[in-house]
Amino acid sequence: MGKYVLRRLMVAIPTFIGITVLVFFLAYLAPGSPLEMLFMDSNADAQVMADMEARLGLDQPVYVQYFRWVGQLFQGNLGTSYRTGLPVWDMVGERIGPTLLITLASLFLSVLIAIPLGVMSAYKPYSGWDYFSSGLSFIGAATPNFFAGLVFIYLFSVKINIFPSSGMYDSAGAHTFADLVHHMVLPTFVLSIQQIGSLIRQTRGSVLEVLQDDYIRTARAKGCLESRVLFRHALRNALSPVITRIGTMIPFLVGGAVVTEQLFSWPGLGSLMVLSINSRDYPVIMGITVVIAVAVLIGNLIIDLIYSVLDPRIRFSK
Amino acid sequence: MSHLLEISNLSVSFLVRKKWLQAVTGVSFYVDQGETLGIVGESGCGKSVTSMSMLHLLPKTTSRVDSGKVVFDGTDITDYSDAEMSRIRGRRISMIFQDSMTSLNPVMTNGAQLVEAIRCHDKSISKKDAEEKAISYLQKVGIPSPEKRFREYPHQLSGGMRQRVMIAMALIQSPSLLIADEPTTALDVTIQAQILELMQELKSSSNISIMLITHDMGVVAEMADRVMVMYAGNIMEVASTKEIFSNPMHPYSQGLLASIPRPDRTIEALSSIEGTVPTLQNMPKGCRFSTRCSKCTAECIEKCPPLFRKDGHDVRCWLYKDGEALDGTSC
Repeated sequence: MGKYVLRRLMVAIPTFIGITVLVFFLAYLAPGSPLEMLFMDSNADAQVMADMEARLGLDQPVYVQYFRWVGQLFQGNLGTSYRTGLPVWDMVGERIGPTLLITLASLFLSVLIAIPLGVMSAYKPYSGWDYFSSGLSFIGAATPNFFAGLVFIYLFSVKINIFPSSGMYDSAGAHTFADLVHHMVLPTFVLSIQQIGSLIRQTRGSVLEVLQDDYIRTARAKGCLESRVLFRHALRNALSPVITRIGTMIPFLVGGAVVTEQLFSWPGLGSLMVLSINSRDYPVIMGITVVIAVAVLIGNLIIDLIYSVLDPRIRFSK
Repeated sequence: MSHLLEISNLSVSFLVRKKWLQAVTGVSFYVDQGETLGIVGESGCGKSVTSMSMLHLLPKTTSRVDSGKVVFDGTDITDYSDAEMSRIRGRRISMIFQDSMTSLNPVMTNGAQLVEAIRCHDKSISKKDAEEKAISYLQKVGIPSPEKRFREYPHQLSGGMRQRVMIAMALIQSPSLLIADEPTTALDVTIQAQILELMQELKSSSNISIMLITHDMGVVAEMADRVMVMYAGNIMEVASTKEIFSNPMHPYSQGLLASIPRPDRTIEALSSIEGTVPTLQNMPKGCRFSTRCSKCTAECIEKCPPLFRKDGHDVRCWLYKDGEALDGTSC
């Protein structure tokens, strides 16, 4: 088991290096020099600009710039925002909490809703129940977030006005937990819709397949009750593809649902990303990308660990 | 004396491309206490379907029982609910299957699966007692270092060992009837012999009845007291093992026996039965074997024969119509 984790960690290292190279050079190649951004409005003289260039190290060869950037990265320094002049790390740190709050809540909600629906649907295929949840899953998977978001805002904020349409807290009043939850409801549901759709389909498919397996017949033949057959024998074997599907949601979870955050003015990473792209704030863009990439690596590591817990054949493989 | 298990007029259909097709037709037989009944026939003849439908293990959406009655130990269990059946399965009647690799749950330890076989039926047994019992059964079926194997997963065992685990699991509730569905087919010959020997031993020590489903005449010869030959969903012949081997009456049984290789005779080629099994979609109108039978007459093509009882055999063939007819409406 320890060996397995170690091997996974070793694989993550070159991936991380690759990511830093990509992130740095993509930003480097992007049109528009940071200097132009810094001196956009003023007509600074050439001497000041040259001084600034030297101070930022932009006069150095590109590989020197890269290694300096990576060196800072490993010291936990993501640079300084061109737009605000604040350390990127602080800006990202401030935004990552709200993002994780709604994305993790929506992941939890999706799993809670989709897995039981998918299992029931697979257990009684082509029943009314199955048509209901399959229908739900198709509609869910086919509904874009921006559309669902607008519909939700129209229905629940405008028409019956029970949930707020933007922000994390009421502008007036104390920042209470209840207020936060109240604001979270709509963005969380909107984020969940597509996830629920795809998770129902994945769960249904994989449970349906597993139920054909011989050990299910064995479990019945030895006198287990149906509930035990379904949840103890079938579900655990069916979970691997479902976990894979959840794994593919991780980048989205950390990157923040850009559209949804914009729509609900949710102060998360997604809206910071949009803001930074619009103002060509490269250090922030690069910082967010690196943070997302690291989170994806960690997420994949967790997924791999869950696999090995679920399936002993992975745990013991050489 | 009443039989331990008695099945009468069992017919089972499957849903194939939106049409119900009968895979087993009018099957009646019995198994006595302490007896081993061998059921033989080629793939798809309805051997497994018969046993699975007895235990209500066929998929409910794509199969149905058209007719039939199953009486086990004096009780009619034909219409038992799933909950009622689960008290019979594993406790009174248990099953072992062909492929022990796929028949054990890959994500549960061998031990957990054995303990489950105990505790599914009796929650009052403590986990620890169940564990001890499970280990003692692993020992009983000849698994070395049972404590270690108890904690291991199925994929860490060899095929023969896994089949032993299956047997231990099937016997742990001391059932009255064991259905062994091709228990040795997936094993190599030496392991096959060991498993058969183990089953013989267990049988002689516990007086359990065995329904042995196989297509291997050698296995039947070694294990069974009586043999039932099935073909295309019909019983073709039933007789004692000795009778079947010394005096096969049905042309199909004769063909089966003739196709066993005989090292003591030099022959040009192995004998085989010409043709293929008719599919469910186009069953012959008369005798189901008529399309491949070398002794086929006009009567065979026209009318399906009932089982005739003659010289201690029950045989479904017009050649023996001077015997006592047992059932009339079987195919």
